[in-house]
Amino acid sequence: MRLSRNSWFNGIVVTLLFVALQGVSIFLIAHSSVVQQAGIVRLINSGHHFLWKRQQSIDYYFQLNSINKALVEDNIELRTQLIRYQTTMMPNTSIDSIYSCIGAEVVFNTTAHAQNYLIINRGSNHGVQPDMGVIGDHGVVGIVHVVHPNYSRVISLLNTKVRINARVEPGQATGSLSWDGKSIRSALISDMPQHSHVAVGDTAVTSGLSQIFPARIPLGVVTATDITRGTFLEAQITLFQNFNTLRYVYVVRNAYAQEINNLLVDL
Amino acid sequence: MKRNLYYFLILLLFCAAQIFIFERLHLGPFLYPCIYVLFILLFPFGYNTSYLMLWAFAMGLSVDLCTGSPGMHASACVCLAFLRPNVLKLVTIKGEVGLLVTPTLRTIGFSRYLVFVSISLLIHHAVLFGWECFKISWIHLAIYRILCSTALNTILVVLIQAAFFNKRRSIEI
Repeated sequence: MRLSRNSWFNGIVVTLLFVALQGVSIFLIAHSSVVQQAGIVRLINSGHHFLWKRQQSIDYYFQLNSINKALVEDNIELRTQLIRYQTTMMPNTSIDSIYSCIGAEVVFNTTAHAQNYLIINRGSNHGVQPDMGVIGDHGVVGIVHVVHPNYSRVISLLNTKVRINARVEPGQATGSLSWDGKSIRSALISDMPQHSHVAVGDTAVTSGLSQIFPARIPLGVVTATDITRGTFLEAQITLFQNFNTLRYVYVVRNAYAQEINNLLVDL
Repeated sequence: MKRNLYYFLILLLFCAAQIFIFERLHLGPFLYPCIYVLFILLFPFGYNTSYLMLWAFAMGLSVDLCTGSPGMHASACVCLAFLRPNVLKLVTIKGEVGLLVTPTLRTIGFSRYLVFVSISLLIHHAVLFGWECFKISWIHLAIYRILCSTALNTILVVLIQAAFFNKRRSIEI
């Protein structure tokens, strides 16, 4: 008799504790931004960063070969652009000069989740603000989310919640790019009009229709197209950027973002 | 007291291993190496479920804080701790439990231990990836992710158990 009453009581305690602990967990999940911005996370991240950096500097030597290759390719492209500018004597007052870059190093990076993010070593002290775009050597990397004085949290392009306005060249069809969560090298461009000309091998770039990214930042190559829901064209693309070897990125600052946002609010 | 200190040290060890080694293995979006679950599986047979849930919550929350994910690991760990007595009932024969101390490869044998680990990981991963893909349109991806990660982590957990926690001495934790 006593034993059965005890086990019944124990069952109630266990269930109540289960509900309470689940409640705390769900509260944390529901208020995720509170956790991410909390001081303790920043504290742990800085300690984490210290050890991570040691490990990363070892990794870095093993990646030197591929990094050098990427730098050479970058140099070649810059040189060709330089030659083009020199030959045409184009004055450097193009529309792109409203954008400026802040160089940053990636100190933490995830690729194994449905919602990936990275942390970079530049923050509000260096002029980084939320909603700025982040680009890497081979294209778009993500969008700045939370800014601390010296570090920022960037929502990776490999995040199922991110949508970026994309254009497929040379057909000029625009759509919205999102990650399909299947592979770290592929993404989807959806909501393109059905009549647009998109072929396998076309290049996807940013459209420049938002003030986050300048126009024509490379995204990837179209590998397949499909018509979904009978009305929209969808293109599968392979991303240029390899997110596993990210090390240096650039935060893009739009000098007139505030002004454009004010205009949008006035509407 | 000495026992709790031991559990606490093991918790820190698993947390460090998860964050500095297994979190850094980038194996693509379908394979998420997650070995700290073994911490919850190491407790003795008759261990009080309430205390086990508190330990599991502490384990999950410390991984959460270090990876920046909000409460998802904690939720998954508490679910696993809550259901662990039922999973253990599946893999043991009645009356046998009194003779054994902890569920390990040595005490319950390879095949039963494999079933125990895979069911436990399935529960943990179902909750974890369920929270992560909190949209019904992602359900098929979440299922792939759960199955692939469970397969990978079963192998990892059994290997780690065999390598570090299978000595006769560690049965007495």
